[in-house]
Amino acid sequence: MVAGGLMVLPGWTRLAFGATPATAPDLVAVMGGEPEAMFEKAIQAMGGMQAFVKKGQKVVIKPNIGWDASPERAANTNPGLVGRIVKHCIDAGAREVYVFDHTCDKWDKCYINSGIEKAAKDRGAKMIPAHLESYYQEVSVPGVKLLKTTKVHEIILQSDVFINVPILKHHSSTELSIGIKNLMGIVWDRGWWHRNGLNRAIADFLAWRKPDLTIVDAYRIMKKNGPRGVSVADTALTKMLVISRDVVAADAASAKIFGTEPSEVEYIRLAAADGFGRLDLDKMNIQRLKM
Amino acid sequence: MRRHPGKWKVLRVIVSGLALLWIGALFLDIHNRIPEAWYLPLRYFQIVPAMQLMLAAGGGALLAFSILMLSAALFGRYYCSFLCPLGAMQDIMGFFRRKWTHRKRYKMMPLNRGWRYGSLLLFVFLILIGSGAAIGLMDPYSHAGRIVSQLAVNPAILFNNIIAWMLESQRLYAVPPVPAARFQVAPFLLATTLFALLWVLVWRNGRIYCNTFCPVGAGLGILASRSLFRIRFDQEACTACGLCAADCKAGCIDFRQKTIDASRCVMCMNCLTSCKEGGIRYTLGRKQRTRAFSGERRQVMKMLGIAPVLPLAAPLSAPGPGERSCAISPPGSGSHAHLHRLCTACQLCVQACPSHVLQPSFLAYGLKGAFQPVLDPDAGYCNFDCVRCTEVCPTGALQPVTIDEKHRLQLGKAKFLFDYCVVTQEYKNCGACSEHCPTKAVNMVPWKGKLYIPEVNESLCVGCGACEHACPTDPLSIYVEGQEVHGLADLPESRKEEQVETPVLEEFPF
Repeated sequence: MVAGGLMVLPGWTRLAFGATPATAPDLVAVMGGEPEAMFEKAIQAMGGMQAFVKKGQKVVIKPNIGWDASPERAANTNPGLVGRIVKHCIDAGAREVYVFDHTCDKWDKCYINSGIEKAAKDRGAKMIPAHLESYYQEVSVPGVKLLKTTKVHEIILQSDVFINVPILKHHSSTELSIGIKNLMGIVWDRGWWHRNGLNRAIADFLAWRKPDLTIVDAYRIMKKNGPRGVSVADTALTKMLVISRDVVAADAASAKIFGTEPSEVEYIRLAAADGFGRLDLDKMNIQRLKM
Repeated sequence: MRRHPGKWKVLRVIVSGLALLWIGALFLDIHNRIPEAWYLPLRYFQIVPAMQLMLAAGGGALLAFSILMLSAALFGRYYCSFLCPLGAMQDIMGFFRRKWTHRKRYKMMPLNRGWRYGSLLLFVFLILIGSGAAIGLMDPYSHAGRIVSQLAVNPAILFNNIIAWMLESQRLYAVPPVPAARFQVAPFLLATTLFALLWVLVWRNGRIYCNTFCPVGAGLGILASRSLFRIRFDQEACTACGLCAADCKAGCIDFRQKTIDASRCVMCMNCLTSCKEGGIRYTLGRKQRTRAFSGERRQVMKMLGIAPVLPLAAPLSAPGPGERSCAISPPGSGSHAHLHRLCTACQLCVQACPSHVLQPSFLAYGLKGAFQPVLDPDAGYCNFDCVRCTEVCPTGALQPVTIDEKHRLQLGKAKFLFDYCVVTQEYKNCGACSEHCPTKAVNMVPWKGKLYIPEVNESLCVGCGACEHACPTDPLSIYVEGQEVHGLADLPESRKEEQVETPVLEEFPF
């Protein structure tokens, strides 16, 4: 609903950014730059952060901070990218910007060693904890077969704008971890998902809430041994970034970057089949930008 | 009636207060923020840790232990009132005894030689057979550690969390809340029992624990009985008013005979404050015979012959599916045997462990390792890049380990139980175990159709317990089997490779 309302861009955005197309692209892909610079290009092509964040709104940014690993391991989202996104939200007039993840490794070590805590705080965001069940509220997921209820971090419920910032990674049991999979970091009871049908649960969750914007960090990607990775040799430098309002489309394009057919990834296929987003990249309005 | 406390008593209160605060802070570091260097002094001013470290490593600890012993022979049992955390706790109890009751006076106590030297002999025997767990059950520092761990950590966490929640309601996140420490029945009962016992003993007879049950007190007492500096009567100035004896927590002053049993004097310095006549002083002064020692020595010799033998039981019951038959001992312990010999179960590593995978054991190792730390993957898993426990251990039970060594340190090996796995039983992908594995010793391999099942490469496994912690099935379908002696895991292939730095894509693939 929020996303739908935001589709209409205010006039002054067009003035500020000059040649904004009459309709914003479905997806923007940028190649060949540093993460921050690629994001600048991408968000401009999407109509600027003002298209997503209104003055006085609360914004929650969900990077992947799952692991106690340094940025070059590409186990977590690039900290520079997160910092730049925070800056754009603040510049767009956000009242508060929150950054968090329900980490796998010890949360404070992940926040610090990923470099994300510093990058986000330096730009004016608040890093909020997510390591206790008391932060989570039970929500019911409408119209699904498996994941009828799950516990979601309260900050998602309390925020106006939800920005999903995954990193593109290999994943040992779901093939890939990108945008949809990244949403597992806003829920508490992940063990239940694993126990009862991981791919189905991941797809079902989109029936509860789709992020308003998904920004995929594909600057340095984890090609094998994901999602944690064993060493820097698991990574490859791809220097790409994908941005879309449609998390399924963002995952589809990112899977292609990885070299995997999106329909081969079960939760992406299920999510598209249930109508949570599009897989037909060839029919989309995609802007491709090289730097 | 109120007198100004003398300089010695002021010094004692300040030093022991600082020592207790210091040690307490280490055990209550719920955010794991205290730097490693703050843990180091423990090894040098706590007697039993210094002794254990000396037995483990010699070197600096040997020097530290020698200085502690020599200084006791020179200056008396200053450890008991200045440095011992259990002593400081008893002094706090004694403070409340004075505040809350009308019973202000202490009585002179007869020395219970049987208990006192029996406990010392038992202690020496335990050192000889190398039972760290049993030594720890007699060590005042380890007792204090267990009391703080079991009785003060959760209240501290609650206090922290109340502040955290108040701040968070204002959208301030400077103080994060901390999950409560696990309740462990046996360590809790042990600590509670001793704590309650100390209150009773202090209420009745002051520091009687230190002169009856504590082997450190007994050992230092022998050294201190003829110490160069000690508290002495000035035979001329003393009017035999008895004020000093009434304030003596150790009950070791015979004011009528004008003698002090220096072997029992814990050097609280109260008597120096209570004497108005200058009749009692801490001096190098004149030789004064204590009658105690020669007789005691004979008794000690007699008892050596009847040193008791402790039964050291092995683990009790046979393991079920997903239950390890061999406990996982902490990094740096090297082997169960090393841990059992040196660890006094003070719980410092348990408190310092950021992931809380370290928990006090009860029977996981059998009685010979009672209360010593054990990895419990149900509570957490050992962080791949963390060696915190090895940095804080004061006894040498956990030897220093570098991060690089830790990456290959094999504490145990993962075992996969095919018949309980989500994938094999329900034909649904899971992979939680493999996700968390830091070396990919647990890897997902194609099974049927698009299903992947875990495959364990034991030579890569470090036994951190991440797979077991993440496994969602009950009973567990993957668990870590500990090993008596730690091993060396192979280096994963990808850690031998170089990072590729050339971009892999020229064109958009869509």
